[in-house]
Amino acid sequence: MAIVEMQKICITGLVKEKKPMLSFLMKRGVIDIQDILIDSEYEDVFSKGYDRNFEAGIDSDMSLLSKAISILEEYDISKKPLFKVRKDIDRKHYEAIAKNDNKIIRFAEDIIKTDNSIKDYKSEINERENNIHSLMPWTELYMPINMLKTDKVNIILGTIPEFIKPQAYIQSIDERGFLCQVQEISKDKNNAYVAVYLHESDMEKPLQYLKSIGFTVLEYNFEGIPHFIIEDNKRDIAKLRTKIDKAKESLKEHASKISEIQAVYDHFSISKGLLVVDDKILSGKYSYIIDGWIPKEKAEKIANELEKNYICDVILRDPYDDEQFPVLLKNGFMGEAVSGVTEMFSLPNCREADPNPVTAIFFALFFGMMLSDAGYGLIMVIACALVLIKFKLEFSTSRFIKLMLISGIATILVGALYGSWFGNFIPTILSDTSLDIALWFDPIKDPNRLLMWSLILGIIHIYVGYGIKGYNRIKKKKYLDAVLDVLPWYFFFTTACFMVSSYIPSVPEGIYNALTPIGTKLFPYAAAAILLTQGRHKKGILGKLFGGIASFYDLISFMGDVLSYSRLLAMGLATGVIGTIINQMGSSGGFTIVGVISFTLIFVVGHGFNFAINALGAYVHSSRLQYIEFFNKFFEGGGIAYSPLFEDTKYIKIME
Amino acid sequence: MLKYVLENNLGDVLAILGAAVCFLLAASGSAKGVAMAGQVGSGVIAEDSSKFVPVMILEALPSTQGIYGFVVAFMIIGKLGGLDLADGMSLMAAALPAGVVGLISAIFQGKVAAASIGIVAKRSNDMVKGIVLTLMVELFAIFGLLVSILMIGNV
Repeated sequence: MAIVEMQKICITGLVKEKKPMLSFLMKRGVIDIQDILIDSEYEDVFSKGYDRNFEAGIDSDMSLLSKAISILEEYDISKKPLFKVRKDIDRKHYEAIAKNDNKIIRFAEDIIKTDNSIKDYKSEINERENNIHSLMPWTELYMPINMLKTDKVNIILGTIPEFIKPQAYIQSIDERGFLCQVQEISKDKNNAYVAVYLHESDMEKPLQYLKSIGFTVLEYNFEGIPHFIIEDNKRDIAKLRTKIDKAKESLKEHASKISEIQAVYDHFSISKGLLVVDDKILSGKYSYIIDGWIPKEKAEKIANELEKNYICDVILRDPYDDEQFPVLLKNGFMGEAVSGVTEMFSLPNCREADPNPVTAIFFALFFGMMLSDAGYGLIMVIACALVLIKFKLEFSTSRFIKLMLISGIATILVGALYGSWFGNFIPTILSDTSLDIALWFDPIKDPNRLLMWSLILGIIHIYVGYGIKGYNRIKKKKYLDAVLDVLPWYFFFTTACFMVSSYIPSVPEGIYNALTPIGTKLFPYAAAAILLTQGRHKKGILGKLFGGIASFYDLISFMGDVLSYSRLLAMGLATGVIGTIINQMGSSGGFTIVGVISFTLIFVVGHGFNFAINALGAYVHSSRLQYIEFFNKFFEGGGIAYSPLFEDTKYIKIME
Repeated sequence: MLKYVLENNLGDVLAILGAAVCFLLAASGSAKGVAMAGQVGSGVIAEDSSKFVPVMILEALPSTQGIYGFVVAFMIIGKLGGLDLADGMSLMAAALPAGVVGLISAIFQGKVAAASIGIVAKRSNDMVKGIVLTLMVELFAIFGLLVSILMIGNV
């Protein structure tokens, strides 16, 4: 439960063995390779970097494969797990697949081609449908649509707007004596579709007349009789549909091979990792130098393995006192669970204590106090335990579930203390709402008492923060600072708290009568201690004095911090009150069939909503109490994460 | 009507008025705050739907003031039943901190939440910083609730 100790490892070997050596290191996945600077005098001996063209080739292969994967994922009908995990794959099997990478790439290309052909077919279908749509009005026209002329007669197709009632005008054409015939082929809501037969000798006048009543000429690029063109198009569409079905069928069959494509994708991302690391390694004509960090417990073993299998020289050393090394945290169940929350703030630096184990306790406690309902906690615990047992999880998911598990346990405990099981569900069912099942007390009935305890917990939390500050000072062997930066503050804050204890609601009279005089008497001494110690790093007597005076302001921020813990009451009360109201609403139907059904409905929806909004609130507010009130007291942060050269895969996990 | 209330010593009416005003103000503030954050959030999700969860978390933050108003209204309603005039007026006054501070802080918190959604849009890793900034405003709503609760407890 701490930050893992690291050793510097320096490997010097022969260039011809560099590739196998690196892939060996990658398989072990323990060395965080560091960038080595080249001294200017060795610039012509050593060089860094790799072939960018080669990288571009790998990138294009990878994007091809990932496109094929995303296509196949649509057609993959195999059951998908609730939580995405990488598939376990045997190394021998993996290597066999990786050897066939060219074949798989061609396979991926085929898949993309098939997918594109589906798109092409679809656009062709679209086109055919448009044809059908535009020819639909002319189905009754039994002559070729592009034949616009016989020996003496011109035929013009077009529309006349329906709203002017064209029939009357068409009849009047005969009366006017034009050498012209108008045949209505079909009509729809807006237009009448007409064929106009005009004699060569008398074209202009009838056309002008027709145009005056809104005739618009339509021209088509089709060959043949409309009815048959439509039939042809329909036949084509059916054919294209079967083609699409066939293509989809083949993609569905190929979907079973998706894992091979994924394996090859990961094979390429591994090769890319191996290639890119050359940017940090010094390579000369005959030899290379690798410089990196390795966890101390694994260092000896790896060094021995390296020296046995390769011609190389391995040097191990402990970090210098002021040297930064990458941070790897190793924690038990609790510490690991909360590490995600801490990392969102910052990674601890390599010289300070890992706050996770302590943070975990407070995080869960505060979460529990804010969600504060044993029923909700029970659901969380059952759900999280089921997920942890039943599913294989990636690290980041599993630690979140673990965090929710311990938070759920705390919620059950707090809920039982407050007597809140789905609000006041138990008293409601027993139709005696005055029943008190709290193991400790019900905050809805006595909020002041919970306020007092919230503030006390806040003070404890802050004091623990100062304690860790002292521990960090001891770790750095600054013993005087450890004492002077912590103890005077404890003294100062405690006397201040004693002094104001009578103003805090629900503190028993006997206690504050005893505490207030002690506080009042000792407060000046505590203030003097702060005045004398806190300015000690400043220069000159005046500087030291003013430094001390300035640090009195910390009392204000301490008060503010403590008051901020009143949110433990506020959020907890909100959950309880809303839960109670939901039960009240639900039980108003009485013990009838309708009443029971409506109770069940209101119970499920209401408590579901109450749980969701308050669990979210509890999570963010509990995090905030850690970040601002707790971490502020001691946390330096700024650690660089330990990121070893390892097989950084997306889809598969290679097993030995 | 006021004369009638005064003459008949009807503290209950005033207390109910207090509960109503408290919830009204705080919940309207939350509605406004959540809406402001939601409008910005929808724009971000339109660009990148994978940011739904952080946007949702930030959008939900200004909703707590409404809950606080609800809690205070509930506690006042629990006190109803034959209150005399002084108690009724006290309860009405006690409703104000949670209500008024809730209204104002929810709107401002909504503004910070909307701006923090901007952080998420640009760099999704820094969501926590946005949440912390937004929760700073929340503290005052909590104090408002607390003052109201302490007052109600002493009526």
